[in-house]
Amino acid sequence: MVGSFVAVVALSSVAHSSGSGWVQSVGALSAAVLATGLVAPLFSARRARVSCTRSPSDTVAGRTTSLTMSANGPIRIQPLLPLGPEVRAGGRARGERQVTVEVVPRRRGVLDAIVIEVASSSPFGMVWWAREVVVPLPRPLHVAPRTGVPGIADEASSDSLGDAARRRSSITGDPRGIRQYEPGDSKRSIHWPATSHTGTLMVSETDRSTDIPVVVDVTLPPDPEAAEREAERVMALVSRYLSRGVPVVLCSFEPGGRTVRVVLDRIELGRRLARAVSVP
Amino acid sequence: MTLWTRVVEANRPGPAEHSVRFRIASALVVIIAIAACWSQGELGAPLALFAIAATIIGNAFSYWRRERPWPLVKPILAACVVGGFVWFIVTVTRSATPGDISTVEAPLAALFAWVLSTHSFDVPARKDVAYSLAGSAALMAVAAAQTVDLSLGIYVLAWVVCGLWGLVSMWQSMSGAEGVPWITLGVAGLVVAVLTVVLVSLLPAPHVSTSLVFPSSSAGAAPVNSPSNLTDGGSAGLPAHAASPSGKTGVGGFLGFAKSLNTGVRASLGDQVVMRVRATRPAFWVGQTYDTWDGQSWMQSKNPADSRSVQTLKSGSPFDIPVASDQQATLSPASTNIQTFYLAQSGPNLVFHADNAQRVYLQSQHLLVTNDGTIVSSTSMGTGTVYTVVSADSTATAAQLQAATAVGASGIRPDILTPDQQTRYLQLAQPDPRVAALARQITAGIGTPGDPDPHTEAKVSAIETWMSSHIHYSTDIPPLQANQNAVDSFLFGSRIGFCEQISTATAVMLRSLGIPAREAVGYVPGSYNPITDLYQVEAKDAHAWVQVWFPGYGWQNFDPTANVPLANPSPGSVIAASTGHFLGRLPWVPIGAALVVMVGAFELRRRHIRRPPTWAHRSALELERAGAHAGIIRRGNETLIAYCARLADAAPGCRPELMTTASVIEGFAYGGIEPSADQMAWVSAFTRRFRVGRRSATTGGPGEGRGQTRDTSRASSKEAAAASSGR
Repeated sequence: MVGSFVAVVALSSVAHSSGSGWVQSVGALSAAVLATGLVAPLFSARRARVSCTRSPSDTVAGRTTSLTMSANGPIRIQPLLPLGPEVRAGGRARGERQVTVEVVPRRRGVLDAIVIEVASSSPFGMVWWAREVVVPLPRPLHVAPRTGVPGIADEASSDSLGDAARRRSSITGDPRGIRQYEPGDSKRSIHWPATSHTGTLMVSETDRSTDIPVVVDVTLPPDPEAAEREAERVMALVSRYLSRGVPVVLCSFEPGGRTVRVVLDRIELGRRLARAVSVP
Repeated sequence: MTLWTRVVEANRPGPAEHSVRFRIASALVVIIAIAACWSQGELGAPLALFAIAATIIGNAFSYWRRERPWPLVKPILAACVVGGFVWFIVTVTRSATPGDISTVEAPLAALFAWVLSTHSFDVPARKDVAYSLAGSAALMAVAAAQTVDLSLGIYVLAWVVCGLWGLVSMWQSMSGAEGVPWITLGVAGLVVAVLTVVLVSLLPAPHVSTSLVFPSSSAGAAPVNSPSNLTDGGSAGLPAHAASPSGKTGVGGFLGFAKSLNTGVRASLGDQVVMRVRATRPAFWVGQTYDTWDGQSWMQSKNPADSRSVQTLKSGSPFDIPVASDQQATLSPASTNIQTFYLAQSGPNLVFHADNAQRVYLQSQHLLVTNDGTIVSSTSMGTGTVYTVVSADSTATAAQLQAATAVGASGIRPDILTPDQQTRYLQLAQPDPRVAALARQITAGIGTPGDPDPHTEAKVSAIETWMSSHIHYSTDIPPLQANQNAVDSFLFGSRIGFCEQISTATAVMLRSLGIPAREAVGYVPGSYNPITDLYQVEAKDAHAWVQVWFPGYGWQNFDPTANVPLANPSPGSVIAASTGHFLGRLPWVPIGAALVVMVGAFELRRRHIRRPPTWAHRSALELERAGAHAGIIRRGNETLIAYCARLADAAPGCRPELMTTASVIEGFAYGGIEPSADQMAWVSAFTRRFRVGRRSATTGGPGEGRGQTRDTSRASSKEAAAASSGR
């Protein structure tokens, strides 16, 4: 880029020393192409629109996660938060195109959006202009902690939660009630008689009882790294119970109070730990 | 790590460039630049053909080895480039004239062509190909440096097109894009064009540098073998025919450049380009002056053939021109005007120049200079001859000239003409009382009886003013009879004529008033071309005007034909004027009609594309619009029934109709239940009525509406797709 500027200045100098108008015209033309090539990507980058059309609900820290994104032009996408490899949204010169962006979350958490850098060099490819864009995810992405070393934990069973800790919503099981349809509900759960009766979509809910759970109390330390290690340890510990078919009640002490959830599988465990917040 | 390994690591190219189009475009711009240098004579045919072949082979080789470049290629190419530099330095040292950049340009073009063609053997990566693309600009600049006409334009156009193609290919390669973004490219091209025009307009026009040796070269020069020392049309042995229409004197029909100027002969001037001039500022390019008037023709009393009255300069280029005694401008500060003349046609061996030439750079053995300032080359001047003249422009202002004619406080005039000069420049063919009376009548009231001040400037201005109000300009006038007095028949006859008649009548009237005057012939500056920075002088720019002598200022130009001062044009003003002229000539009515038709067709097509594909979609859209008026925006994941339920909350009176409508639409879209024609008509009528009612009843928040419109259209699109697929 600097060389191009020097070349244009040199052309102008030669024009003035040799008296040639053509040199000046060629220099002006080169400068115009240069200026356009350097500035035009700024507008292309500003006009770039990116949205996430598909994303998983769950992943694990450190694991590569694929997101499907839609872009409105040939651009370069660099995930910044969480980080990921650079991707080119190639294809046709205009119109929407799908591109798979891979991100690698470093820590547990729940991501509602990701931060990416959108860059364009259109139309001359002289320079990339980039801007940061926050792209909402279609659904929250739960980043579970890595599975660490389980260590030793005190085990205890507790009846303090009553039957509530043993009832769990499930697709099959005992009828629990009927409620209005909410976005995200399965089509299979639609209760057609109630729907025809009320005139609005109604769905039925079922639940089933579980075995006597193991109660695991978790308190995450304030230090993020230490909290991450502790979450990894709990992940490993609870996973060991779950692998033996033992349900677990996970009690976490958080700023809002004690949070109690029954976890029946690793996905629920990961989500719960992803949401867990350290006590200050 | 050895030194060799480090060097290899440091020069490791980037990822291989696989775009064939980018490589072809890059090679093409280099080839076009080489061809441009060849066309301008800066590269010989063998070298140009070799460079073109090397560029093609080199690029093919680079593409073949792009994944695994040979490490030895770089040292070999470096040696080739160093060899090229050595050759360049040796050549320039031996043959170039110090300070003369034009003698360096040919070796420079050869060096650039050599460097670019050798570089093409080592362009594995995108960055290397881009260097080739950018490097061609230097070669184009060298080609442009010697161009004096618009012939380079076709090369520049091809170079720009291929260059832009290359840049777009580079972008495609970088972005992984396919196809060309025509709209973006069109806008970018427009911006480039506008920026180029703006830059050319705003940048100061380049002028000949005073720090360099001025260009001069002869083309087809041969010693003049003419008794008058004036040649005809560049032929050394063909004497100039004095004002004879049968002769070839002058290019494009002008008969003035000869021993005499017959104002009774008519000729039509053509539009051939005679020469191009690069000058510090525009001026009349003087060829000859005449001092003797015989009633119909002007003649030179000091014939260039007369060796006694002509000074021969034998110093060789550059020639220092002696200043004639009547030309010395002691009161006017002179400013240098450097002019380089590029002859586009074989012409007379006159050295055209701005007033008061001081030095001439011309490839001629000697020059002949008459004491009226006419400069004649001893060799003929063919097409392609280039010479440079340095003049001391001493044009005085009107105020200075008014003061110059007054007797100073000491009662002594700064300069006066010698008696011989007075006789020459006050000479008249024969006393013409009518012309003298007219001159006195025109200048009556200027000065008082007995006033020693002749008020020359005021009288000249009065005659010019009279000419502009009493004379009509036309070149279509009948020739004079042999014994007719040109001035008398012009002033007291039709009063229609062109520059020769007007300037001659002015000079004769001034002489009748006792004011020294003479006739000058040459060219007006011509049209300024902002691209070449040259004044393009055509045959029809040949001109005759009057020179009037002022004490202390010498001979000053007056143009009674075009009684307007010459402005120094700027590139911007020329471009603006040309653009305005061009725009003014465009047929705006058809263009406007075509634009209206195009815009209308575009709008119809847009509406056609955006038109809801089914009645269900149309009705759903009506409901969404109605909701938007009420500030109820449909969410992206909201079913139509849920949305209608929300609408019904806002308009409880319409709940049954809304729910029925939603059921019918959803039944059609998702259940494949085709409603009856009456149902469809009812739904359409209700939705339209509902929207109109909502619009008149409520107003929605514009910010919220704008923010959520995208969601609405997305939901509608989904529904439309579902409806059209029959789900």
